Amino acid sequence: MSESRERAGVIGAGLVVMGRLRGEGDMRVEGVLEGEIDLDGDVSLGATSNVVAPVRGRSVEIEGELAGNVIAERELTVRAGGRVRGDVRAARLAIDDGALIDGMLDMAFDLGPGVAR
Amino acid sequence: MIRTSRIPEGVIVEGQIRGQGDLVVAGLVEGSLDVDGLVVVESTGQVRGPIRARSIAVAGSVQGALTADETVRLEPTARVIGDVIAANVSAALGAMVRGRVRMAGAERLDRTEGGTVRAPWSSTGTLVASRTATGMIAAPKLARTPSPQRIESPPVAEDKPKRSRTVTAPVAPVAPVAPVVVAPVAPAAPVVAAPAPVPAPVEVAPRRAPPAPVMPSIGRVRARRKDGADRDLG
Repeated sequence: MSESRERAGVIGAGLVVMGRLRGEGDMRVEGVLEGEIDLDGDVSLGATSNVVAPVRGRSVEIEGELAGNVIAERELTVRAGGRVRGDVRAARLAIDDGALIDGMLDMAFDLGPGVAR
Repeated sequence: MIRTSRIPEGVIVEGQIRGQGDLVVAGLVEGSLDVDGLVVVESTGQVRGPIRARSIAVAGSVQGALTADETVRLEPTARVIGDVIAANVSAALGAMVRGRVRMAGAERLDRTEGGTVRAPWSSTGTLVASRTATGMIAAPKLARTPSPQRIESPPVAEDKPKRSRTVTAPVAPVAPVAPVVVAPVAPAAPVVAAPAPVPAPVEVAPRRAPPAPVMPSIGRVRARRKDGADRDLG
């Protein structure tokens, strides 16, 4: 991710996007976005971000505020200070201490055979 | 006095467990857990039933709701099917959950910033314009053709509280570039959009009659006669 981050797009703090963000490539949002994020790439919502949108991405990292459902094909990380209100579907999930989530989590997995017994 | 109970691996408890102290589950519990201390479900531990405790740490699998007064910690090997309710919930990468997550402070998300676009930096009104998010999404050319009116419009909306822009349905499935005819026009200047001038009178289409039957050997006249009436079939 580090080498791709240099080419990653950024919506800086202070920028307001009303609309849809889609395509390929990594994006980092520090500003305000309302609409939709649908990217074949990593999505990172920074600490100053405020996003009202459904978000789909490969890896999604949230440090800011998000109202909307999230689909992360690889992993979703909610950092301390991150706030998510919406349902989450992710292959892998990390919720740091200090993060807030309000919504359904949906992940594909099986319980061990012991419980199914 | 031992205050920490332990269900070792290989042991199955069928029934409910409740009381004081901490509890470590490395075996299988089929039933509810309700203790006032810490509950640890180790990686070999399995609980089939709701867990209520002061704090809960899960590395094994749980089928049931986790309710903790303080924290719920999900280790990378945790597998949880059920709701997770606690003041603090954290999950390490690898933990798997299916269910609703609710944390203290989540109600703050409802009341304040969550779902609200703040505009601390002077961008007057643009954010409080009464547009729906879906309307925005339906405007594929919005970025390319920003209409000048959009910049002029803010004063109208300025009276409204800036933080009150709530999107009620972030969930709304976003239609792919909605109606082709309407989309490019309507969202372009939704703020100033005066009510459509005069609705064009709807033209009533003449009632259509089926074409007169044409039978080669009989012809129009005969066909009409057969009908019994002499109205015009043309």
